Amino acid sequence: VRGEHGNNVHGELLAQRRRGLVAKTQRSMSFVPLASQLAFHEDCHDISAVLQSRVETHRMTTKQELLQLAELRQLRKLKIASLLEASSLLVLLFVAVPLKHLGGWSEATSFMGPLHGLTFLFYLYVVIETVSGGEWTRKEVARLVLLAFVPFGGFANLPWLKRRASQYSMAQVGS
Amino acid sequence: MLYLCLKAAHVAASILFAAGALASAVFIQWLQAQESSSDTKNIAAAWHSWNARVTTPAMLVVWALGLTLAMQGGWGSSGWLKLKFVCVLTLSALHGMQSGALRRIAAGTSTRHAPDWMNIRALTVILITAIAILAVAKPL
Repeated sequence: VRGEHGNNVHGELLAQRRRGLVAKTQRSMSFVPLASQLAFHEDCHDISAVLQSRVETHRMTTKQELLQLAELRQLRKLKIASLLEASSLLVLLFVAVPLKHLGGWSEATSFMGPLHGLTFLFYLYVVIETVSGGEWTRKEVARLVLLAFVPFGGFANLPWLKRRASQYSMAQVGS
Repeated sequence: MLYLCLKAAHVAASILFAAGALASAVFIQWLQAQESSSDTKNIAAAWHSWNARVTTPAMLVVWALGLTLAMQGGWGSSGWLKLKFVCVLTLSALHGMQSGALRRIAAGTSTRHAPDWMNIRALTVILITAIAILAVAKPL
């Protein structure tokens, strides 16, 4: 059947239907790249079958991406714990202890001492949580633990953890 | 009155923490016995989320209030408290391992280096019981 300008009306209608189906799918499924690949598919039944498998694949991919985000979030948590631990040790050593011995204000250490103890325990907890869930060598674990005992050690962790997070992100993108 | 309020909050947080740690041990052992599937991954992710929102904050409250109560009550030099402190720290370390293991299971990654969760479940029960006895009976 030819239209006003001599084009194939039946073909156009089919193409419009197909475009409408894909557009509807895009709206409901909200993944444009996968759905647009289906635009050239001939049979509607096949489209739904392929779509279903694509949806499953897409869901799995999204889940995987979320888990990668969880791993990166864990590294961020470790960075925060490291920063807290290192900062509280510095405040204890360079503020609270001088205040006690030079200013006679012992409340400073009796407040900062337990607070640093808590941040230290929290840091160790986050280290255990992190290394139990990821691929860490013994050397890296030893480094994470030993740096907690050294003033400024926690700060030395930060660029290292940042590099590790960026390496992890790049490795995931590569895979 | 303040001491009693802190103690009540400490006990409530302890119950949440102990329940979460024990449930994690049971869940992980069950999850590791199953074939990795989207169901096991979803369960692990959901429980990991519960741990992050409830069990871990409860653990932090237990530490902070426990320390405060020990200082306020003058229990610092007591033998039972030192032993209880070791038990709580061991339970916390186990909970950290559980949290990491749940992340691995949720990600569907290898668990070939996983510890024996049957023993960890038993150890969790022993530690919780020991903590309760030490806190109430104060035998040392």
